[in-house]
Amino acid sequence: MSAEAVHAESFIRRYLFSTDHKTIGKQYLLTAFFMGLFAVGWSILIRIQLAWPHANLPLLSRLFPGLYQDGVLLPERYLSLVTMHGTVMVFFVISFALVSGFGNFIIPLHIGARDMAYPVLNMLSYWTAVPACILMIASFFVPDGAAAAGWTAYPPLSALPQAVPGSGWGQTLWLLGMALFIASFTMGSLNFVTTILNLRTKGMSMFRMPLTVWTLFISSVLGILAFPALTAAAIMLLLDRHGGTSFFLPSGLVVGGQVLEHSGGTPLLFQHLFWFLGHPEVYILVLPAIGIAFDVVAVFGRRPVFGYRTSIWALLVIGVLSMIVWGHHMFTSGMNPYLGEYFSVATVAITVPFAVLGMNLIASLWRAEIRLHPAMLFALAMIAAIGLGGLGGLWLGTASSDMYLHDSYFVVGHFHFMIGVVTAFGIFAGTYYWFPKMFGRMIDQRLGKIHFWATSVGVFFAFIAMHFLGLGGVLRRTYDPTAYEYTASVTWLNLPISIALFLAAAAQVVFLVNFFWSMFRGQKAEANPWEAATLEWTTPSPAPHLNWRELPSVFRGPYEYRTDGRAAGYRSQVVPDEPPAEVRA
Amino acid sequence: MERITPYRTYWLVWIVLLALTLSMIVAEGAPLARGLVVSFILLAMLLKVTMIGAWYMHLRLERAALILSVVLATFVTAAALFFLLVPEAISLPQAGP
Amino acid sequence: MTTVAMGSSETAAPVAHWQGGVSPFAVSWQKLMMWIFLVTDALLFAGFLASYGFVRLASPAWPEQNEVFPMLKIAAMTFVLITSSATMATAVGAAHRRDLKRAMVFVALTALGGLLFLLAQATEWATLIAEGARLTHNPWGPAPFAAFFFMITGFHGSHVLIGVILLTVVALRLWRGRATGMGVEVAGLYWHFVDVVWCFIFPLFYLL
Ligand code: HEM
Ligand SMILES: [Cu+2]
Repeated sequence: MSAEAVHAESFIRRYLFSTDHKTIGKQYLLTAFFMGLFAVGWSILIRIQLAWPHANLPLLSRLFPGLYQDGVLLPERYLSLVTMHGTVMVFFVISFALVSGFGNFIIPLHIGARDMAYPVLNMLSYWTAVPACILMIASFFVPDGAAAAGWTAYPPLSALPQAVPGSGWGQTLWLLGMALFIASFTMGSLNFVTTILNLRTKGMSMFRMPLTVWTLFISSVLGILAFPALTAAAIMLLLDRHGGTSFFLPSGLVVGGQVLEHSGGTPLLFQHLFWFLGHPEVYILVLPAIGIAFDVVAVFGRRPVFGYRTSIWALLVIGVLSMIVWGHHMFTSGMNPYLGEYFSVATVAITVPFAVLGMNLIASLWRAEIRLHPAMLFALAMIAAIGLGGLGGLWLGTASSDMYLHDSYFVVGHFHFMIGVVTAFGIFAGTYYWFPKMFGRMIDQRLGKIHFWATSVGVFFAFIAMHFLGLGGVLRRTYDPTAYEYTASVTWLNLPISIALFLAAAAQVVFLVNFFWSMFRGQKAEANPWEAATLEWTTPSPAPHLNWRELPSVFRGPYEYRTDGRAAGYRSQVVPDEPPAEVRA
Repeated sequence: MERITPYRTYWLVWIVLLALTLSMIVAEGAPLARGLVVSFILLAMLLKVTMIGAWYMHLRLERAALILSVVLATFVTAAALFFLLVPEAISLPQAGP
Repeated sequence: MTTVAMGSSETAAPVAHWQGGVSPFAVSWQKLMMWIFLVTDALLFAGFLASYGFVRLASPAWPEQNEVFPMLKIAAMTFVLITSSATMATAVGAAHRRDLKRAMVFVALTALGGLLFLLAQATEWATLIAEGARLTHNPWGPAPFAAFFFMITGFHGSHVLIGVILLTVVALRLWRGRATGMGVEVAGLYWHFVDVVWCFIFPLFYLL
């Protein structure tokens, strides 16, 4: 089978029900952007509420009659907004774009395969994800509104349909959507792991794979190991809601003055099962972003990445440890104090391999000749975000300080650095970097830089400031930030935070315009515009069906830059001769 | 799989599996210390699973890398979940003796 | 759209004509994928069983299983399932010897064993429901006791059902001479896995 056997395919088969990994990757990426519009939109409504809590907003009231009444956001809808923003961002934007999008697009190209191991399963994965998106969005249109129990869906709130308005149909749709998402993600992970293990081209040993592939590999393995716990929890929660079981419901609950029939269960169990997935999930998302940063820093810094192998070992250690630290989300749940101490120690231990990754990224810049392409800018800023988020993590991982900080805006600031900034910047870096290979055209750099600076100023200001809100005692998920007298000295920060985030949101408009404009009107791209050494740049842009005419053979690692002492000098992975002794510049 | 397992082996394993199952049921009703009974049943359970994996699923003939990956990944993850939940469950106020 | 585009080039070709390096596990991708699937499916059951352990340990009391379940019947069900695993292993062995006829007979026997198991399970459910077991409550002890019973055995039973369907398909393909040794083996892996899960459920839920 050679790549030129291009067939007359119908539009449907080519773009909709395609089994080509590149098309599926792009479908996921575009779906992520589409879902991102919703998630960002909801966050804007949240920030408006927090910036001007008592304002009358007749226009919004007219636009969203379900959410507002008489110009005021309904408190229960505020909870729906935070819930859906979190859920959609984590699972339907970041996971779609970073893991499913880039994963599908880049894994076969990076390891020299024609496609995924099981392309039909891959297509199935995408077409399971689409109804999941529809269910999530649909939950805003059911009578009682979307789920309102937080993206963590803690019972009893989520288990009792009569508890709050959003606990009705909205919560059920949320659970069904999540179930479909998990099925889709699992199918994707099966393909990723199998493909990476079995379909590498000649000479592509595991220790010659780019770090992006390594991070995607570990993310997929984590998903395979951790998601079943959430599946089990979701099934039990559905049974509690609709089958009358009491897995998560203790006796003596009173709702609306009525004592409930349930007895014998415990909500603590759900927290454990949720975070058994929840914590690995955040690493599933952050690791591919870091992997992309490594690749981008090497290409645009014209340096081999520092400590390629130590990074891989650090990734493996992170993978193992991330499965056994979930309890740090539950320090205040009344958990067994010995167990809490254990989780605290394990959590702080995980910062060590994490710091190794961060330091390796920084050390890769040593004597680099940096080309400030937008991809590189995003990768560099990501390093800063990793540091800031990690520092916050240390405070939170220490049980004694977490007692004070838990459920405050400090946590919100921490995880937005990690799961917001790092991952989003990974998506952007990857998009700017691989755009030529995806669409055969160059993306505009000037608009890219505007996008970068506006986004960075906005998010860094906002999320650093949120840490101070948290230190001042402001709790997350509060509808009215002026409700507590004792936080009055810090809540003024809400207005500048909102303005900073509006700036960042506006920057995304620039990005989308740039993206679609360049897709059709951008300058035509050559096969290897960045002088990069990895395999995807040895095939034309855009990559043809089945990727290569002849599968390439690999002779060296992925990061041989400045091999002749000059910044432009590099050796592609397919160059056969052994490098002479004076490789080091 | 290159090597072929004789049919007889499968049925020998079958006999052992049945014997183990039977012994578990007998042990459950035996007038022995509870700890002893529980340990025996759990041990027999693990033995059964190992035999099915090794002979019926042919893990015996696979590379050590596959065996280790599959078995360790499953058991370590399940054990992490289970053993970190136990101290929590028994320290809840309503827990039994 | 041509049939060529459908069958060979799009799905099979990238893999069939693959000229790459070696898998560290030295197994085909089909088998590897099934193994990985079994890992995640096993962990789903681990999630259920760990939850059951959690609730049971956190409960003031738990029913004496001997008084609830008909142990003789459960033992017979276990016997059937283990025997079906042995017939499945025989079928895989026959498929590897290219003895398709024997393979078909033993795959069919395995499916029959699965059906028998499901039948016994169904009557067990019926008996317990007649005695008053419900998802919401039960006459013997804490409410989650019966709920866990229905959920765990139900999930295992649905896996058996899927296995029976899968095996029927495999048997038909063998009959037409279309099944490969690989296909039988991968289906066999799934079937043995269902047995392995029962090996955990039986002592953890019924005995201890
Ligand atoms: C340096 C390592 C890290 C440490 C020590 C750490 C520690 C913690 C702790 C202890 C909490 C719980 C705070 C509380 O609720 O009281 C937390 C929350 C969180 N962390 Fe981290 N973290 C680290 C890295 C990350 C990374 C890399 C991500 C994501 C990519 C992340 C995402 C989150 C999220 C999403 C939450 C909040 C979940 C919620 O309650 O809604 N963290 N972190
Ligand atoms: Cu965590």
